[in-house]
Amino acid sequence: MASGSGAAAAAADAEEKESGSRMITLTSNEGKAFVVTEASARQSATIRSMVDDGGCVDKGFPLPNVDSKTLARVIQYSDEHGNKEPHTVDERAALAKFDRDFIAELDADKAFLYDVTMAANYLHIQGLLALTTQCVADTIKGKTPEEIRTAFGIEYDLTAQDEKEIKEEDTHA
Amino acid sequence: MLTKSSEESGCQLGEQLDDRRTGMENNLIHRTKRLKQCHQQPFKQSRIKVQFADLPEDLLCTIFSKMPLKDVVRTSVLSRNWRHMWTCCTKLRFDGVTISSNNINAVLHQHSGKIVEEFEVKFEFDSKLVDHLNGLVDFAVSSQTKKMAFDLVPTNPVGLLDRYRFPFERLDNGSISRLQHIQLSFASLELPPHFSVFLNLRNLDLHLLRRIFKICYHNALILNVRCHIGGEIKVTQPLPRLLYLRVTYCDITKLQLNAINLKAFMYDGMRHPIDLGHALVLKEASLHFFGSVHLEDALTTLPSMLPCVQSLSLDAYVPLTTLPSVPPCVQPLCLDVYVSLEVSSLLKNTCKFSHLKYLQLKLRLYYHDSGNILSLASFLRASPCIEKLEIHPIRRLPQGEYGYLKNMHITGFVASTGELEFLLHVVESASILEVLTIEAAGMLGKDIDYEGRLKVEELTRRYLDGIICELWLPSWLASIVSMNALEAIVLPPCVALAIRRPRSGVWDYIWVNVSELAVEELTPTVVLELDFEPFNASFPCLFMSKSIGDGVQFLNRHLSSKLFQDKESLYPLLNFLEDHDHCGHGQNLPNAFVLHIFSCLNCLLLVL
Repeated sequence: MASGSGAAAAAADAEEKESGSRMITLTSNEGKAFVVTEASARQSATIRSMVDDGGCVDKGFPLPNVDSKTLARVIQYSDEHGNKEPHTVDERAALAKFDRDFIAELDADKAFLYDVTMAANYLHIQGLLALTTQCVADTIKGKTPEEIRTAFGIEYDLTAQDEKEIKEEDTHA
Repeated sequence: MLTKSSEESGCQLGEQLDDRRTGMENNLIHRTKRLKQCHQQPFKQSRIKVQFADLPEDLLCTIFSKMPLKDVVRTSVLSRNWRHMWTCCTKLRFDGVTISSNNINAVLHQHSGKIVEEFEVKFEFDSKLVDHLNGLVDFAVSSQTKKMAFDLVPTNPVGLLDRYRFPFERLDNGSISRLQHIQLSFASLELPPHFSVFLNLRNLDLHLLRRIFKICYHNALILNVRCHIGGEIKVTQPLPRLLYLRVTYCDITKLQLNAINLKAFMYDGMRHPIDLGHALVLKEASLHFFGSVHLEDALTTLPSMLPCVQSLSLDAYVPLTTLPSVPPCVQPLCLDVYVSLEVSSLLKNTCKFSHLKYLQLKLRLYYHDSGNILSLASFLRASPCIEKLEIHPIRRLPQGEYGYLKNMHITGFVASTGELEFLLHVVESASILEVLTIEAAGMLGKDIDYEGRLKVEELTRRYLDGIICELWLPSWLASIVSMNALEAIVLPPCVALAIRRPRSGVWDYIWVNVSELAVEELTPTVVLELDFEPFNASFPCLFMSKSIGDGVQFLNRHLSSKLFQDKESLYPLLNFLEDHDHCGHGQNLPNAFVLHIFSCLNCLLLVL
């Protein structure tokens, strides 16, 4: 008896999960709700583990650390990566192009890039995190200090004393 | 400066001060306040923009670790804020092309006293550099490194005999127990004879160690070997602690070890002589041979090389006929001749995989061999205890025989003569066959045809009478396992599953008797939860003052990402189970216990 109902329920669950039709609600810290497919939400290891734990799937997931603008952008990424599985060379190339465009757009607004990075970190979206941190790293890599200051909007506030110390202890400067 | 809308940076600063002054309680109050603000107040676009320096420490570390060290260090001249920021980086990688020894010393000086988890050095070895390298080893020891890599491969290693001798004596007890991963390329490692154990060493990676293999590795649990120089690997001393050996893409012509306790062996490469000594506990092997392997070879040398293997995966091109290619149209005529030739000679073979229970063959077969698939039966003949057989040839499959075979799964079935013959052979000789699954060859766009279907049905009627044919158990169990059961313990013939968590931490337990298909609810008298070191002494810690107050968040994130990252994380479990098994068939454990292993059922079953 127990086996019968258990099996039926499990089968129903399996069907539901496989079809990917389940929708999940994510709520930003401003209370705005975003409805995404489960496949998309599963891009995030944080949400994935909550879904697998059978948590509050129906009630949705509040994300107090992410604002709406950032969440919308993150969802744009996870939709692209979660809902499609690239099989052919062309599809993979298209996805790579999406990544490139996505990051190029973010790169223009550093503060927003940091927001997305922190959201990706919080939500454990490995692909997105790798993309954004690489982007920040590339901004620094191989640039002169002056270029980096411009790129990050850093004010030069080292005193002559500091500079002297740096020269002494760090031959890289 | 501290407008309410600037929660991100403003409140954080406020909190830091409070933390220092009044501690935990105040911190909690402030956090609640902040959450309320976040939830109740409309989010204002005017908030202060996040700066690079506001990123959490672990993210800074991730970003820095993606840059060459030279660029990382140079960020110290950007501004006061950036002055020491780079030292949070816990991975140091010195690449010889850009860095001189002076520079290295400067970096090390600034990093002294900080924890460096991963320490990598890569430059061409020169005997003048020995002192310098020793200094680097000292630094790695003092900065509590867990992963150490010295890659000293010269651009042209041919003929160079001079190598860096890894100064083992410079490691202190603490670092010996801390080191988890050592990679040495173009260096030799000689351990003192009385040396006991690298307590936590999980991974030893040695490249390019031709003939320097006379090292006793008695301590490596996992040995990864990749080398690009031809030659032999030969170690005659017993290696009792070597449990896992993986040899990939080596140009070696011979591998000879005496690994008496080896448990798993993986090999990718050409078919060269391999001698693992008396590997009597080797249960799991995965062999991927480039080029072709003759069936006779596979059936005679493999059993002696892997005498006790229980699970074998073989990936190779196996020609099934010794004759040159036969045009497909001639096949029916020639079939009898070839098959009888092959099978009869192979069936005389006396070498046996006497413990083999699970065999996975990934064979690349040619079309003209398809009629000869019956000769694969010789694998079964050589494996009297086989319980499960999987065959994944590129275009077709067969199956097994004998008294233990219960489960047969065929994919890519096109009902060719050879396949039907084989099927017949199996069905006739596997007296207790319970599950027969046949999947037609949809993948190649060639579905089983009507005639084939009739033949299969006839076969089924004739031979499978009374045997459960379309068994619901596997799919049913599989769906439970994949959907709801995150924990399981297998005590044949029963499986205890912890399923369905209505909310976190709430479990139902069921007990499935696989042989009787009975399910009963388990009211656990004792549920033992095993918690394998979520924390340990070497856990990374935050040290920048701006991280004050973010500890719990960091821990949560770090734990969830580290936990069960890979299969290796399960070794503590394996060891635990083995220890208790040894003390008397699990008597030390409560009768009913459930292991809480998050989402790692597959790995667990594999281990068990």
